[in-house]
Amino acid sequence: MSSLVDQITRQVNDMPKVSEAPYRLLRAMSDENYSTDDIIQIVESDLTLTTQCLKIVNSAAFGLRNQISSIKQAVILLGGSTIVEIALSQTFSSIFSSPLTGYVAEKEEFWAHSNRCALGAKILARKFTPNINPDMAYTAGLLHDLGKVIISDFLEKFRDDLLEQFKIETHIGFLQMEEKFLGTNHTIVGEKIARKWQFPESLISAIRYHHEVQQAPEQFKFLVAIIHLADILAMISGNGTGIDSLAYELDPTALKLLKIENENQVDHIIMDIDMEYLAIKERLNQSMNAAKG
Amino acid sequence: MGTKIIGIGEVGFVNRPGEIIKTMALGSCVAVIFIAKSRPLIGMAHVALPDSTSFHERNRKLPGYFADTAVRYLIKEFIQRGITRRSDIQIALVGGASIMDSHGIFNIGARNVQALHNILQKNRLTPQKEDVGKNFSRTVWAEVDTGKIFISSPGKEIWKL
Repeated sequence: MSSLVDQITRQVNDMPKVSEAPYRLLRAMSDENYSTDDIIQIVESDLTLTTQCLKIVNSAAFGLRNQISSIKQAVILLGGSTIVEIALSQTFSSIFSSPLTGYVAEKEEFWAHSNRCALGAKILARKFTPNINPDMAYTAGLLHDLGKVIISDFLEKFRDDLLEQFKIETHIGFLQMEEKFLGTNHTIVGEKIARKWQFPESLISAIRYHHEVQQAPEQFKFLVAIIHLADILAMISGNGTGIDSLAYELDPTALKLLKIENENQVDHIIMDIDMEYLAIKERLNQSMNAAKG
Repeated sequence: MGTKIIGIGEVGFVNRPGEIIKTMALGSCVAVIFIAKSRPLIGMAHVALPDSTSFHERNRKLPGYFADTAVRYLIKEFIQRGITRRSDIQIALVGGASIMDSHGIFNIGARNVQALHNILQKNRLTPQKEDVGKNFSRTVWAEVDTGKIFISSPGKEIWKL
């Protein structure tokens, strides 16, 4: 019988590769000097993505008076991170909307956590790292927990035992729990998926090291630090992915890198993320009401 | 019978038979619950941060966002609704969890709980019930009919406070 790790690897290899557009977008945006023209070209090459972008930019949420029919205008108005989100949700909707049963997370919780982390990453990048494109940070935030999709099914087999041990050994982080039961963890499996799908190295590092900033390759350390903190901020805000929520250690390297030194700074970051999150929610509600009315 | 959901930074009240007041997924946030002993009335705030004084801009729609503004609002509303004796108010705190960084600057959960204790004490009030700290997220609700408080968390059985 093959080992659990082998079975997990096989499952990663069996994951289907889908439409090209999101991958091309991810690669384009991981390049610091990417231009809007690159994005326009990628969107134009994919009919479903084009349709989606036009539909969203012309929706009530955007509140535009005139209809937009040019992709160029749509891309400029939507911005890079929204386009990536549209492309990813289109491609990975089944992945993100699946309940992570091994983590006792309900449907939509995974997407909510990923989204909240993405928003936090974008805000942290804007505030603390002028060299990191906030859209890139957003994308890394969306994808950082990809490995959980595979890990979840395997964890489920041990769920009762795991819950029991987790109750007793409260000082053990969840990453170690995954390793104890499965011989691997969601960051290692996430890296395997990211490599299979040929993600850019920056994204691969964010996925692989978002719980171990210190281990990240030097050139991606700032991005990884942002994702580490954005992930924690999402969990702190109550947007976790089930039983593992808050069961991770804060890596002080991240705070040092971003020069976050006092509680007041942390409080302001939390408030900024909350207010932006609530504003987005409000806009969504308004557009839904407008659609109903 | 209705359930009133309190979002982050909001404060709400229930007083009709069968009503429930609930707030979901408290990470480091804390639910402050005021229960009137002499009549059916429960107030709940979903507190995110300990102190409003270092913030110039505050969202008026969210009086419960900070520990200090939340407690002031709950007290004001209780007085307006005729609860004027301190001994008539039962107070509970739920939430305030933290990541595994118990001494660091990310320990917002513990700071929220401490701030709530301080502001309540300033108003000569004490929480009678608490389920705070540790590193798991909580959902909490309270019933008007019984004044009972219940808590749930992923992977755990529901428990009564």
